[in-house]
Amino acid sequence: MFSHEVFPKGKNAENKSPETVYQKYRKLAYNVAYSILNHPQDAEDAVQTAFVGILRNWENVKELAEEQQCSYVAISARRSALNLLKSQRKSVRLDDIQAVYHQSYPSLSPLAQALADLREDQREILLLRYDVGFSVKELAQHYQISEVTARQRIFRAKTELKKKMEEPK
Amino acid sequence: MKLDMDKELQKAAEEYRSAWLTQIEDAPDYIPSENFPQKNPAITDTAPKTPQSPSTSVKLAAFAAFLLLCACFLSYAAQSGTADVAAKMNQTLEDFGVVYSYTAHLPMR
Repeated sequence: MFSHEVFPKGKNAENKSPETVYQKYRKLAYNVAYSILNHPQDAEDAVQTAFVGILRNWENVKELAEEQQCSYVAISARRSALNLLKSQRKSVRLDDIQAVYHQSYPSLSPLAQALADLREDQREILLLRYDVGFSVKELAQHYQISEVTARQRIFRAKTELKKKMEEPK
Repeated sequence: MKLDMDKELQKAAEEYRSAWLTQIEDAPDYIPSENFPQKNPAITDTAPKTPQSPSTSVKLAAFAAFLLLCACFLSYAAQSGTADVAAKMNQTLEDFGVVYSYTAHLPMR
């Protein structure tokens, strides 16, 4: 199993420099990317792309608590890996991609399970909003969209989540 | 009501993330990049800059200036230069097969 300390304790972010964050979470990011791509070089590329994005958004990331920074790095690495996988779609079987998007997790609460069943982009924005704790403004900066669009996306994701909750099992 | 929902979502998101990351296994043959931020030009902007070649107009201007300088020198040598200079010029021109006498244009002393 994953041996990295997934959620380091501590309320305030001690990781005030990009280098510290990179040194601390590069392995986590690599493992996340590798779990999707199954290729060392591709995973390394995805990690690099993810950290470029993280550094671009550093003003918001540096204010996060350690646990949230860890979560943000993992989400960014997953996004980069999925983007890379999409770009290689010709050489990847569709079933493999579906398996990546919809993984099953045992013993989740109904709401967390509904979150797991959401579409990738909707799940991601809800994770950034509620797990990482980004404000609407920060989400807009992360996605490079307007705040109105960010608010709309959150609203749609929440509506979809409600639908999933109401679906008969 | 809204706050309750937000709290519930926060818990669910944390639960999902915990389950997701716990399932992630250590990747084999991991060779981490030791100093990624320094190596990445997009971040540190330390990529070696390619020397810029001067533009065509600059090159043309420099060549025109060079030609003008040559013309001035020749004119000066022909009109007011000493006999030695003119003789050397004649010799040089004759070497290239040009028949032209600079000395014929020298002012009489």
